[in-house]
Amino acid sequence: MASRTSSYKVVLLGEGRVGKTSLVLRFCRDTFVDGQPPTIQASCLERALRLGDKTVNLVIWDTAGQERFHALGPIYYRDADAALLVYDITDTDSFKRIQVWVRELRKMVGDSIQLSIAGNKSDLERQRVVSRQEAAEYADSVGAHYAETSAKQNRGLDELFSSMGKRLLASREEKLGSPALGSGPASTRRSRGAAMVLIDDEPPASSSSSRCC
Amino acid sequence: MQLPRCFRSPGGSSCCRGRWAAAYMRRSSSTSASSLCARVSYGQRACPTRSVASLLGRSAARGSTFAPSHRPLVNTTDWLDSAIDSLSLKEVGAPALGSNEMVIGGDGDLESKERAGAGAEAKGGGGADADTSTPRCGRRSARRSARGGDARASGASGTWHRGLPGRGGDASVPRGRASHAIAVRRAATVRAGAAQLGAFSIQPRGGAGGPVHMLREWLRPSSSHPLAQLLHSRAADFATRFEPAIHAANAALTAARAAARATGPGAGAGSGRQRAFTVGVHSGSSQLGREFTVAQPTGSLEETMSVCSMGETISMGSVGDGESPFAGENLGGNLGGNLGGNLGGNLGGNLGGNLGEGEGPFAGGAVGPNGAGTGPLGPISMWEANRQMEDAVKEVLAMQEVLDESLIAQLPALREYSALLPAAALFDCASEAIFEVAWPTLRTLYTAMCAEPDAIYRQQLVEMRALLPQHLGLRKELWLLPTGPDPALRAYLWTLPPPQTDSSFAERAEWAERAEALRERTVLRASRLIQQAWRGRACGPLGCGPYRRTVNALREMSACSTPLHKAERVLRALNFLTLECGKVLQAEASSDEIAADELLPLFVFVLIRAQVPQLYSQARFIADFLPKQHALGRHGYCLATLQAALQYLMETSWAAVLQVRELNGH
Repeated sequence: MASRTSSYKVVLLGEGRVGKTSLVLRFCRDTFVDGQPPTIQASCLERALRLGDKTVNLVIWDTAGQERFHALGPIYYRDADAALLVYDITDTDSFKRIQVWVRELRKMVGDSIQLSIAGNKSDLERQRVVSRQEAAEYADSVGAHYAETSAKQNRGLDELFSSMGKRLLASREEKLGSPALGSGPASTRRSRGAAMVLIDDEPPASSSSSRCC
Repeated sequence: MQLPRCFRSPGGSSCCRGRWAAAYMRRSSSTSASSLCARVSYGQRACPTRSVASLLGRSAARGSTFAPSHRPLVNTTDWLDSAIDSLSLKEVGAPALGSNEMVIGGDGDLESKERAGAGAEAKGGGGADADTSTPRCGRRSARRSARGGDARASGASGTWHRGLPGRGGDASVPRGRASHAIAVRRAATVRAGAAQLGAFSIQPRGGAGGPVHMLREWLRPSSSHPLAQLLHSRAADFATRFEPAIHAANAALTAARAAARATGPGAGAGSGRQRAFTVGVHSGSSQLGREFTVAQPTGSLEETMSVCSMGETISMGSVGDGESPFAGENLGGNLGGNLGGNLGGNLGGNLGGNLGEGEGPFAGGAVGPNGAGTGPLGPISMWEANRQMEDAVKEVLAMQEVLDESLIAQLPALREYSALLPAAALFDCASEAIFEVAWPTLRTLYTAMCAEPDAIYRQQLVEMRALLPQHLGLRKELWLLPTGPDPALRAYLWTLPPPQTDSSFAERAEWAERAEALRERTVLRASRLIQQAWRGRACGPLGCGPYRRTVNALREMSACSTPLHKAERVLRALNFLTLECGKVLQAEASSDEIAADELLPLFVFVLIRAQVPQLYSQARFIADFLPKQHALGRHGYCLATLQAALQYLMETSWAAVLQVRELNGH
């Protein structure tokens, strides 16, 4: 029971050109098979993290970051367990955009969502315009985890996601009391109409076949 | 799984298939009957047991020397003997055989039967009697009939048993002198062998295995299984409970139609183009055949697009400027037609009578002329508002819950059919059965409750019909400019203005401004040209324009009746979209994957090209009922993308699209 996988929905927010997609693609790349025809795998990714004796399954939903699609955000981040906000350390606007999203998330989703802020393109240190201290202070003030990453050089990604996974596990244990209840927060928290049976828990032999991503 | 009609072979092609089968048999005479049977009965579709059957057939036909090493088929003849001995048992339908032989599902049975029947007919009608003798299982009889025809044809040609081992292991059967009986027996032997191999090598590939099929059998209306009884009693309760609601919904729709007719030309004021829309709901047989076409009094050109889906006929008249990209298209071609049958049944009776009362819970809500269209909808409110059919949703979900619980109780019984239970597939199967019975009611409710957003959606489809990928800020590679009409223009569009290095700042600014204006004008002109080039393409029944596979996948959505199937169509569409973009981008040597930043705007574009009728209510339907275990995964993501694209489409005006300055990609 202790090692059961639980799935979490992570929504990926960030402006168009901050490299959020390449960040996540880099992180999840080892789950890809090269030579496959492209599918929407680039937009809806899944990656299992092993944290101690537990496995955390992160389902990462990419979003369109352009300003004109800003109003569509709630469709994606509804029921998300965590949000990964990516900005470009060489672009002040992208950092301001992050702050807009944080306010919106706190307002629409509440405090239950775990926030992580990633300053991407840390390899371009010379062109930096958003200082590390400023970003870290902001992250502290909104209760988010902050990390600087480089998708190009594959830096800081593991730390970012494992910290996210740990906080997800901790918040869930806190919320439920016991981690053995329910298969995933997304299925326990939202109840549209009548509560559904958590069906992939029922037959023990088949739990591996019911993953859909 | 319910296959849409375009996937099934139409009446004519089964005959072709039969002829093809005959030719195939003549050509490769050493290929055995069972391989042929497998091909005939499954057609070109992928099937779990097909490869096994053909594998076995081939190896049995060529004797043990060609037996594949991974299969323990050393002593071919003994094995075939035992297969013959057990043949009689299998012919009457032993459960073990039945459980895996019907893996493909109930819907294919009839089709394969007629295909195989045609195949036998093409070879002389040898199997016709066998075909009619066992109507119980179409697939089995299909195989038998094909086998009969096969045997007869081979007896005539006399070359069929060249490669077959005899019963004693020798292949020295006198050529050309085999009697009909022997040929039949041989064919039966090979066939039974294939069945036996299939019996022990059944794999639940892709979640479809024996248990799933058994569950499907249990849930049939004619079945006496407790699960079926539970389901159908609940379904009957559901139907009676929502009967007044359906009547009210229909009354509301009738009123809405009347209102739209009365205020028709004036309704579309604001954008300079005159248009009006009318929804006609033809539920079941009671209203079938009525069609609503809104004729514009002031138009010189009228384009009428008759879209048939979800059992409804919507006629959309768009009048005035004659540059609609949808001229001369007939959407109804591949979508319509297959729906009349399965939708007409339950609902027809309910709706025949009193449509006049109109005082039910739905009377007021659906008729408002432009309530949600004028004010900006909140981001979530569009999907969360209008919750009056919550009762129906709750009821169906409760039904699902009860059925799921009973299904869990039945899992040990299902385990007999396979040690490995594909749980997700089982529960999907149960949910499919629920929607089979609840869909007619739900369809009417959703149509009525979502009439207003659906009307907005239709208006927007016309308003945004000139939208091109470049309007959404997509990079040039994804515009998919047609190469034909104007290569010079295309080349011009792809060239950015040259950089000015040695001039003053003011000069440069002025130049940039002028260049920008010129470029915008050119892009607009180009898009008009492209629009003309694309007229009638990407929307026709054959779908021959860019992103056509995506468009076609989306159009199949209306024909599906379960939320999961609908979501699967969206998933397919998005996968096709990514695939098509990947091809283009590879050719252009940029990165070969597109992510959400480009997927969403492209999907908006594709939605406009696809013209899926009543997409809003369909999306609502998926959102309300998509099973929880899929909500987090790809199906959920596809649903979110669909909702987002739809919301963008419905809340953006054409003027706002044109105002955005990033006309040229970046």
